[in-house]
Amino acid sequence: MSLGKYCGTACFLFTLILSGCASPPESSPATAQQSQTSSERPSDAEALSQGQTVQVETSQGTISVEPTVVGITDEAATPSSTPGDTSYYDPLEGFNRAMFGFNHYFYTYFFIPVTDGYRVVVPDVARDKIGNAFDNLREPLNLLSHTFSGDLDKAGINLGRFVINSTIGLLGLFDPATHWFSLAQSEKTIAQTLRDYDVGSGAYIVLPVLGPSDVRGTFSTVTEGFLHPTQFIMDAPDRYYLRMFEGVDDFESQSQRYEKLYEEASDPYLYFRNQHIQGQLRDAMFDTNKASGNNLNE
Amino acid sequence: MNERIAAAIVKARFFIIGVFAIALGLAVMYAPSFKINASADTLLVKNNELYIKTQVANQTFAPEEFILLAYEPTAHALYSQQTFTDIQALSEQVESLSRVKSVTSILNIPLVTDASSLQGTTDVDSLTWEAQQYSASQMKERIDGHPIFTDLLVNRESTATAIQIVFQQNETLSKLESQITDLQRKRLDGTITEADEQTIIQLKAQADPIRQKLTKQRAQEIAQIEEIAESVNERANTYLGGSYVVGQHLIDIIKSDLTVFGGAIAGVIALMLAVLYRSVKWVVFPLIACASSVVLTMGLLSFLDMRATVLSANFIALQIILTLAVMIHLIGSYRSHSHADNASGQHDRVRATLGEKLSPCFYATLTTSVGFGSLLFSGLQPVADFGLMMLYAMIITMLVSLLLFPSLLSLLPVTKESGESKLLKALLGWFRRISLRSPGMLAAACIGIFAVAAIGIMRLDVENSFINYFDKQTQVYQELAFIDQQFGGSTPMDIILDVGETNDSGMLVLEAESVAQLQLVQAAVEAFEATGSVTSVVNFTELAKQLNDGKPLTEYELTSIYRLLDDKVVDQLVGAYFSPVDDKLRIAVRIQDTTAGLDRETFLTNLKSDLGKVGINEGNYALTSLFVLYQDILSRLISSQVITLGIVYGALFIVLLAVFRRFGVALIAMIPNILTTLGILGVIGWLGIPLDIMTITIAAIAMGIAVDDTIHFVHAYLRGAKQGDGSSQADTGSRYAFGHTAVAMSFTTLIIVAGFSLFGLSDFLPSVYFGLLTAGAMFMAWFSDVTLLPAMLNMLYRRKTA
Repeated sequence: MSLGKYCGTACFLFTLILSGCASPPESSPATAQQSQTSSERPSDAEALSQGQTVQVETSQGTISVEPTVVGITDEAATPSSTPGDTSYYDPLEGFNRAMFGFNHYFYTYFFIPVTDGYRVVVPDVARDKIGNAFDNLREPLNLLSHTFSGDLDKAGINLGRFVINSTIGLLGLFDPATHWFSLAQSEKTIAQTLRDYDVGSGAYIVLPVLGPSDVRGTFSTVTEGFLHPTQFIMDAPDRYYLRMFEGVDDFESQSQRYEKLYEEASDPYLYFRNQHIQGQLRDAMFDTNKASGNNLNE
Repeated sequence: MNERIAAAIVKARFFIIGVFAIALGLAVMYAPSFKINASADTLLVKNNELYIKTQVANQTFAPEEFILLAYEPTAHALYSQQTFTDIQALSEQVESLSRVKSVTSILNIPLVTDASSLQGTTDVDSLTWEAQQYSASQMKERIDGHPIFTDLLVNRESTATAIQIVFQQNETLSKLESQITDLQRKRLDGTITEADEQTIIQLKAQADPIRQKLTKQRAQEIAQIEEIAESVNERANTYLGGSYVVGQHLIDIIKSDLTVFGGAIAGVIALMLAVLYRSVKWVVFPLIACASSVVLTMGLLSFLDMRATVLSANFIALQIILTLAVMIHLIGSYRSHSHADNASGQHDRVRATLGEKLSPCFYATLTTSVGFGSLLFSGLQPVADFGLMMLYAMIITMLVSLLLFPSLLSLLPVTKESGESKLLKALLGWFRRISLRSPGMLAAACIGIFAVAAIGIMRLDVENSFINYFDKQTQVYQELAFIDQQFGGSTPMDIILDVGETNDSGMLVLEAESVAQLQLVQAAVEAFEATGSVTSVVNFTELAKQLNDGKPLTEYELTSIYRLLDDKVVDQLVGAYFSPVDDKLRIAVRIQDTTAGLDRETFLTNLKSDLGKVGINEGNYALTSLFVLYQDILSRLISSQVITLGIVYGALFIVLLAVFRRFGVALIAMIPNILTTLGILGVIGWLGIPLDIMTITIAAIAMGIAVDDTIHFVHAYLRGAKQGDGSSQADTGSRYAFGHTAVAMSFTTLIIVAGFSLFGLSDFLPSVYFGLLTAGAMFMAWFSDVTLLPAMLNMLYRRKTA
């Protein structure tokens, strides 16, 4: 996700305040063996929906089932939590709801009309190329995150992609790295790196304009804002315009999705919050070294 | 008494002939509208809970009617331009058929390769071969092992691909059907009223002509598709499959069996009559009588709108044979009277014949009717329908052979009758002497033989599969078997899971736990060798997981996809498997009927216990659709067989008691018949022929026919015994019985065995079994009637005099 630096500063404060907050420990993939009846044991379906691989003895031998859809909540991740609605760790709900309301207002009356206009003015193909260019600008950040995660292979790929696409790919407008050199895109954020070091996501936070995030994500976004290549190659107002443009380009593909889901949800705040938290918990549980470019939840 | 009736019949001959002529005239008017209904439906028990549940499930998920056309290239690769060109050409031609709603093939399915396509931003419809012209290798990469399309559009080995031809629903018909189902639903909780029942009958009457038309249209469509498929036969094998195709093949085969075997049996009978009696008269007259019976019956049945089904397809052949059996006894008696008194006039001969044979013939047809009538109590609707049909047929046979035949006969001039076959007389004479000399030994030997046969009853097994109804050599079998093995099986079975209310205050369309539960069930079902294609929402979530770099979706992401995707696409992908309104999930399973050694009963038992093991409570799921409905019938076959046989034994004993008025004689008359039925069931067991809805009728029918011979024989024996006194009673009785009665018995047996054996040539295995086993049963009945029966009667009369 991209960043508007103005809000970044504000969020940075939150990060400092909240990073000390305990965040629920996260579970890792495990295999639930069919153990004989302990009444406390969750059912196989529950275990499966919590992301565990389940094995069951049937008349045809042992069948092993891997989850395809999971519903991992903070409650499940912290079984000892107190009663009440503890499924989703959201101590800042009051603030978040307010911010969510503001965002919705902002999207409806400003951002969506702007992106709609952008979509009309800029043709498909061009938008595609612009997206490529912004992706390319991120490569150094990916490289950094991969390096800190110790994933040097991926870091090498990021380096290769950046060099190839910035040169042959005409400043990243084209993606010859993927098409000619078979170097597939491999994104990695600081938040993902932190997760690799078992840093929890912390409380849920709705960021101004940027929307659903959490303490870790906010920290990641702010830090990436400072480290973004534009910081070093462009001057003050210009680089903000560029980042805003990136924001518009980014949001363009999501505005329709946002509107539709907002309309259909009974409580849109909860819907987007739960989707975000479940996505984070799922990502924590399942292989994080893979590219998260296709991550569905953001 | 008999003599008076006989005289009356001869006297009223012109009146009788006139009445029959009018009846025949009416029957000829109705007979052409006689209908065959061979849809799988006719083999089902309706109005029971399972059937209604299946209808309700069909209403909820509206699975579409489709047939599969498989394409197996012979020389080129499956994923090649040639294949694509052929499939495209075939699809285009098929699509031009009027009732075809859509044609799905590997060319027009969306081949999604990344998750973003599922989020509503890409037009999924554009990701097809037709739009993108993917290369052969791209197609291979995208389709091989596809969670949704494997087993449906491409087989696992990637050697063949299928075109799914989806047909338009008939709006009016589906509206009527859903109205009927809504009313039938009330049956489940017992709130159905008399008015509802009336409405159902009315609605069914409205639906019927539409369904008839549809059947005709389906036949045409299948023929047209076959013709279209031929255009690629130089390069590829094509196979047609799907439940309607099976149904159509059944109709074809039944129609041809009706005419071919009806005709062939008539031919063989004519030939045998000619050989046995060496006289034109005894060929023409019985055939006229047989033809009259059949025409009258067909007229009556079409008047009553009763339709031939797979089960009753052979009723014409059956009736011809049964009518003939009665007449041979009449002819035998007539000839015997002619031999005895050359000078007698025609009317005297007919009167004497009727005087002697009226009551045994009446009782013989009555007992046959009892045999068929017992099927009414089988508790299986299709079997009961068949029983009722044959009951009508028997009444007509009785009237024709006892009224029309003698009336016609009395019009004939007197002629000299030819003598009886010497060989047969010698054989029968030998049986007679043995049964007189050592009746105990003979009886023991006989019972021993039957006991060995009857042990086979222990090996009886119930099993049913449509594919196995066809001979393995036939093209029909090979086509159906190919689809069965390569494209996910034949007989559908649905598992309807009740997932209950979603508890997240309506936030989610489907919860992770519900999907997890579904996955567990699906995995348990897939673990069985006999399950072919297994499809549900899980196939979609698997695809989504694959596209999401192997990471599972969250339940919210799934809901988002559901809401973001185009409604049409959602309906295509999960509409048939998920009903958000009723919170029900459907797993569609097709059972591979050609699976070697498939024991369906064990399969279902295991499946039910496995469903428990993966955490589904018995109240939270329903198994529906054809497979379960058939199995439900099969599970009742054994008890049904016991009930029908019990009723046959009981009813026949009462009839025998009424005929002979002596307990001992009636008991003796029962024994050969009981042995015959147990013996034939034993043979079925020994041969490993599964008991199914077709073979179950054999024992009762065999008993009904076989007892005719017993009645004739005992009747003659008693008549003969009256002429002797003291110790000579056994001798005179047996001499009389082994006279023309035994000869007539042998003739009928011979003709019936020869006639039924013809069914052995059918491609339709139920007919083959039915024909050969009934022939076997008749032989057994004849054998016990000329050995065991006289032996026991001799013992009875010796003891009485000793």
